[in-house]
Amino acid sequence: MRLFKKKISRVPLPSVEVLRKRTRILVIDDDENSFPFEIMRNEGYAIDHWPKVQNLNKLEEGEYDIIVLDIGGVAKEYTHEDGLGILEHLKDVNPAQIVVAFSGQTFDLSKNRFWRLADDSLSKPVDATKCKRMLDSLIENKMTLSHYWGVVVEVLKREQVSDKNVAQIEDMLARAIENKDADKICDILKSACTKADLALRLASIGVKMAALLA
Amino acid sequence: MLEILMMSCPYPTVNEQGVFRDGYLVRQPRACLKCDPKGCLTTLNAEQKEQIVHSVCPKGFSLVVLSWPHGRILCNGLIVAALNTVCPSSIRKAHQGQKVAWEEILSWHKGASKMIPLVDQCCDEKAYELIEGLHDVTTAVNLVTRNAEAIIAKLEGDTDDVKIDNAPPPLKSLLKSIELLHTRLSMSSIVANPESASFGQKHPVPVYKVFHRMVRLFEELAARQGVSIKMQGSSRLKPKCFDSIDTLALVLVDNAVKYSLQRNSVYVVVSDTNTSVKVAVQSYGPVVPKERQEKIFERGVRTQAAERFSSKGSGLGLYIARIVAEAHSFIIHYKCFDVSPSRSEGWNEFSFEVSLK
Repeated sequence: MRLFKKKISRVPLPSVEVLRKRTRILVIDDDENSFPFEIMRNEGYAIDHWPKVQNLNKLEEGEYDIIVLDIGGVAKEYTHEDGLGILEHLKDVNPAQIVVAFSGQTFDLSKNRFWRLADDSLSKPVDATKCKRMLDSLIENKMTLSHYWGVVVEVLKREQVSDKNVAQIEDMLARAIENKDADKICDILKSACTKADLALRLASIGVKMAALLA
Repeated sequence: MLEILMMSCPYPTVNEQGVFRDGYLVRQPRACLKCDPKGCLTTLNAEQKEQIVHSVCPKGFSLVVLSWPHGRILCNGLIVAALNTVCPSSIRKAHQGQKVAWEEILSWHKGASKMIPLVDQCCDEKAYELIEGLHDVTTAVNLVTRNAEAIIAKLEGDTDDVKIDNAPPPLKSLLKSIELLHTRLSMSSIVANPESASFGQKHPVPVYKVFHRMVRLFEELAARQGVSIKMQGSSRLKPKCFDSIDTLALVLVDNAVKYSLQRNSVYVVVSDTNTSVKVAVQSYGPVVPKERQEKIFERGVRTQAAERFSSKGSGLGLYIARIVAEAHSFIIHYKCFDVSPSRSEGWNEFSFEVSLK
């Protein structure tokens, strides 16, 4: 990872302030009072609200950079495990998707997997300060080329792609990033794996990486 | 569950902590209470494959270890006639009331085994009811928080901090109460689900600021008790912590105020080292006797002095503090100093060190 960072060190990236405005955030929660929507929007965050999962395809395709997901009463139509089922599904089909576990059920032992699987957590009740701190931290630390490349490496390793091949892909990707060639980035990641469904998942990570260069 | 089993046991029992309890049919023999060292405790911890194991203590009494998947209890001070052939006749004569038939013990173990799943089910149902109740409380607190934020948003100032500084005192008090509510809810979560102390990612946390905020939350309450709270030291470091660090600050400051004698001060001292942030919370009040110091971080433990001093308290605060400390891989140390032996009062200090690594 250090090598990848070095390879792309000359690429100018947007500041956290710019990223904050650009980041698309979706809060899925049936209780509209649980999240400080108005304050966060006034602070410049681009936040949508769904009381429940309205369009699973959009989530699978990574339309939102960060999803703040409640555990209960948001996806019973899709899975009996509700929010946890959606979280598991998203992490499977779109491993780079950043998901925040958002619930008041921290006291429920049966829901521990929900908290562990997410990239970060917000336990209700929350105030705006806590939301801002957590979202800024995610934007700063997870919406980066290195983080996305880290997710790609994890996927490739799981698929038993050799270290040599991973290193080659890294080289090609770093060059495409330096040239800010969005199509090339997606193509490289798409062809990194022979499995069709996995190739699409990797391409969607490529889209996220390319978006950071725009 | 072991507590329930011991309470419902007809025979005398002893637990791992060395607490001896009478059975509802057979009482503890005085010989067992006086016995020193209490060798029976090693029997309780010895490995065993059988569900019920009989052995004899050096004094000649039967020891019966009864096991269930939840754990085991030790029945002591019995004389099981059929199995205990080495019990001296003097003991047999002097302790007629301790005689028990082996079949009766087997029968009680069988009955208890049937009872355990029912008690478990009952506990689950009660826990579910409590959880549902907490969920409703959280929803209500959400609403209060949103309303308070809407009021703050209309105040003058560029940032939330400035706006809150400009708020009239009653609104400031309201905000403090809401913050306290949030942290109290988090305490309940940790009691019900200790794992929740390490949920989420660790974030860089200004420890001084966390304690300073808590001190401000408690200032009013402390003043009503005739106690003042003072922050001391300085710290700029931000070690990475879970959100639960707020709960730890609440417990330590709350306890210090609760167990402070009137006209005294609570000191919260925060300072940096090269690799860590050190925190010490000091207060003057009843001290913890040396033999109880190890126990105070256990769930439900309150010292006699604490009970005499304040009827409030559940013995959960320091247990929660320990859980949070464990989630962060540090230890909370307790010490007392300048103790007045005649009154068992002195300075109490709870301290810990959060590493920057």
